[in-house]
Amino acid sequence: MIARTFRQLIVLLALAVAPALVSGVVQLKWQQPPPPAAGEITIEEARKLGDQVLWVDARPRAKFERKHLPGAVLLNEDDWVRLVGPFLEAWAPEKTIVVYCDGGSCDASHHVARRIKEELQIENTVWVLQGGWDAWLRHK
Amino acid sequence: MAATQVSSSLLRFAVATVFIYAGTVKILDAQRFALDVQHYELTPWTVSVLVAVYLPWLEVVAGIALIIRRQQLGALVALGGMTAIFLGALLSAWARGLDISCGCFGRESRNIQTNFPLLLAQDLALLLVIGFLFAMEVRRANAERAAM
Repeated sequence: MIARTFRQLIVLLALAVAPALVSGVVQLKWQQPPPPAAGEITIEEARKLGDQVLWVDARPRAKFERKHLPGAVLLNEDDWVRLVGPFLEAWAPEKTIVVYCDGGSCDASHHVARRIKEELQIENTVWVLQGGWDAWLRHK
Repeated sequence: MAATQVSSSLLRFAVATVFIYAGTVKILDAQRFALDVQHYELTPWTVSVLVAVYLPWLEVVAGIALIIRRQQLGALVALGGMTAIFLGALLSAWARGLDISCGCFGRESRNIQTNFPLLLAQDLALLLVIGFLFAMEVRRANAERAAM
């Protein structure tokens, strides 16, 4: 009975390989990510900027404290007044600000980027990371 | 006996449907499922992608095998194994305080805040049903062999 079960398991494991290969290639290799929207920067472009980037994490504090991009500062709308000071301390005019949130359909990074531009008058070098935290996970 | 057979058939069909549905929605968005796997922080990205590409197909193939009553023992072991691994991953994520989307049923389960006790209870129930079906299938196979 054990040998029979094992044999059947191997057959099923093998049967799943071919469609997985085909759909994997179709989805992961040929399905290109959409071009960045206005005001967005891709993870590859942001990484090329190296130390010039100031990463701004627009997610809730709990997520930031669990894990964040190296050197990122926390600046979210929930605690804007308290967090804006440390953000301005970390910022320098030559820095390029890249704001990120969870990725997918989150809007927090766009809201924070807009407030940085409008309320803090930092206009030329503020980007939103396309795909957010998820994009970083994919490329780390 | 007849009642047991009917309930066994219904449970077999229900389990197969759950896995075929869960596999299909993940196949349709493998990139998203790879990210869901990555959120468990158990595997490097390459492994998460391989898991995301392969496991949903195994769910579908094993689910179909259950429905058409071919390779049933193997299918039940595969589905039980996947459920057990997922139980372990859920427990580990809960213990580490991770805020994850289980990704179990694709896009629509993603925006729901993770309810670990509910997910664990669901998986445990699924595992018990799979165990029951496996025992029934072993009994049936043994009876067939004895009759020959």
